[in-house]
Amino acid sequence: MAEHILELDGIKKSFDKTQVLKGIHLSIQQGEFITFLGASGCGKTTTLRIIAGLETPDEGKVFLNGKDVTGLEPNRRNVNTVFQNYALFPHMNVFSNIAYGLRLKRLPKKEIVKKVEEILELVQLSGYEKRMPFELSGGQKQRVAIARAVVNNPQVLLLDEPLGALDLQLRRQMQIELKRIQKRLKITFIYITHDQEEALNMSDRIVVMDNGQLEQVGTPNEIYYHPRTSYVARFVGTANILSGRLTRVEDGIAWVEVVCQSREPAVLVRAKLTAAQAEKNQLGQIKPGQKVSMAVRSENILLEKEAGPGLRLSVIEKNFAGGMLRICLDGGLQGELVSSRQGMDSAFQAGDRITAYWEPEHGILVDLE
Amino acid sequence: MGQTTKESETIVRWKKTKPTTRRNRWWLIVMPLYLFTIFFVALPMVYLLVLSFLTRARTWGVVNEFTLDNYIRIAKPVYLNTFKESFQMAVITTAGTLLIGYPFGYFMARMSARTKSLMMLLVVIPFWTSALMRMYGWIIIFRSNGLLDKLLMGMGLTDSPQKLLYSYPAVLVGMIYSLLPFMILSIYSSTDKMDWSLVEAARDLGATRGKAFFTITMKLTLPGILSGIVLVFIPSMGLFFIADILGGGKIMLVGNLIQNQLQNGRDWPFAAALSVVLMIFTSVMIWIYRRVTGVRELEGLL
Repeated sequence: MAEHILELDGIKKSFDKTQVLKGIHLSIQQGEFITFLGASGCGKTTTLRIIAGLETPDEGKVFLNGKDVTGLEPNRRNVNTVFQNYALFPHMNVFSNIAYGLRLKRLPKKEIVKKVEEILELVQLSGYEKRMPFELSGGQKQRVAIARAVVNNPQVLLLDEPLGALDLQLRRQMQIELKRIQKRLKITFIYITHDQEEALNMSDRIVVMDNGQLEQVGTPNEIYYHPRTSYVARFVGTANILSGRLTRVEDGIAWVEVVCQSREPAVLVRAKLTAAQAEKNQLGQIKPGQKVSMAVRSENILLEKEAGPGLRLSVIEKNFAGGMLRICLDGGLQGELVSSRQGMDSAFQAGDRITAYWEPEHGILVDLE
Repeated sequence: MGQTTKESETIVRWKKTKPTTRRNRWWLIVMPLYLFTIFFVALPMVYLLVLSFLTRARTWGVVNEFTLDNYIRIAKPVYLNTFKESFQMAVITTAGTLLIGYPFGYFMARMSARTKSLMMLLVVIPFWTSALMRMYGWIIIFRSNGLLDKLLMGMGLTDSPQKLLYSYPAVLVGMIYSLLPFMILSIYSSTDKMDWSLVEAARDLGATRGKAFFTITMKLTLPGILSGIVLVFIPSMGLFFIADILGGGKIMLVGNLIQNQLQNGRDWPFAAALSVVLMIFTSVMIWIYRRVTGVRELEGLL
């Protein structure tokens, strides 16, 4: 219990009869960088506000360092927040903004000055003490907001889409900087974002949320390579989802029968079972004949002109963006399939009939309960 | 995305082509405003100022004879005292409206959009009736054996009819009542613009509710408070009919004095001089207030 800095135990919350959180259980370790990833409206901000004490859960408990803080006012929790819109006090200069929490603690003046100077150096804004918030750029406001929260040395720092308002270049730079600050201060960071790139880059663990529930909790590797549900597979790294019927499992490889076009015969494709799925298979919980979904990332779909083992599909269109070529395929009953690769490739043109296939370890069975 | 760039392009093009013609006709739009200000604000003020240096005619009207007598007369203890009492009344009235109006405007701004507009309607409805009529309404409440009197007797607080009307408190209630909407509306308009995430940020940083209110909310609604104070203070120095109706002539404020001199005393130059002094006095008050609070802009005013 004590090693968990924060624990959420069955948090439920409704607003006007709509349930936004449907029982959240989560333990977070000291010093972790944990990211809540999800589309807007999935309940991640509400979870954060409940941890901060700005919202009270209808059911469930929040433990901070082993202590029940569920009913505690926000000012009595050692948790600080970096707000989405920075929420800098417009009538105070940078120094007063950062010193706000320290002054409330009635620290001696000298100590406050020293701490503010230190933290300004950490966020690389030394000499900005006298500036007013409206005189700062977006990135600078962001740094002040971080400094204002961090200077209080919270047990947990909550960050609500802190980089959402910044442009791409600045966002990348701030990602690195946030990570550096977190390593320096060894504070537990709970970070909220809808940007999968941010989540994969920065986190020790990622919590994927959807519709008020936790879809999957795991390291960036686990989330990316072993998505447990089709939602996670689609949200992180945009995977193709195919549905079919499981025919057999052999040497840890599942053979799935997929029908692409109603007139054409079914095709067998392969997916590698994860350790957990293999265990389930041993216990007989995965049966041949059951309907299954599988995820294949677009970069893992290989294409060939000749007919062969794989799905026979036609190319709908090609587009080139961000150094990646996306080839959209008409998947018939499976909807659209996307194959992507680095660089240009003129081998395939719209209208071509091609064969799409992948290595078994790139097929992932999802949504197995 | 594509649409916004297209929009901004058209705006840029519009700005590039229009300025010459726009600048040429610009004065046409502003002219009525200037004319209005000149004829209905500046000229009457000049007239007032000139009038205050003239001599009263023996029978009726004014004689064109320069004199400083009108101003010297104001220095008499009787008149100075009226100024002092008016000032006192204005201060108490302003404090009263602030005390009631701040929480009112504050909570109004925090309500749902529907309740907000309903509350706004309730605040504005009294303006649909003449202020004079509403003062007569207060007479019904305040008079002996009136509503308030009966209520007090019913509760056993008094055992005989009291003389509530024609008293200082009655005038004060009337003043606060009629000026309260101005305070409410200016507090509301600045509270409505509040970014409440700032209060959450303050709470998050360790502030209690009270501390967050005094360090954040009140500081940020200060322009509203200030404009409310100005909007209430200035009229309460000059309002005469409330003291007339609810004070029964026993309470003499500067407004009453001016009205008396103008209508009963027929001493226009003296009334003008009183008005000029009153105007200077209130202007100085605003100037001092702005110097003290350091707030330059007044919410929705000046």
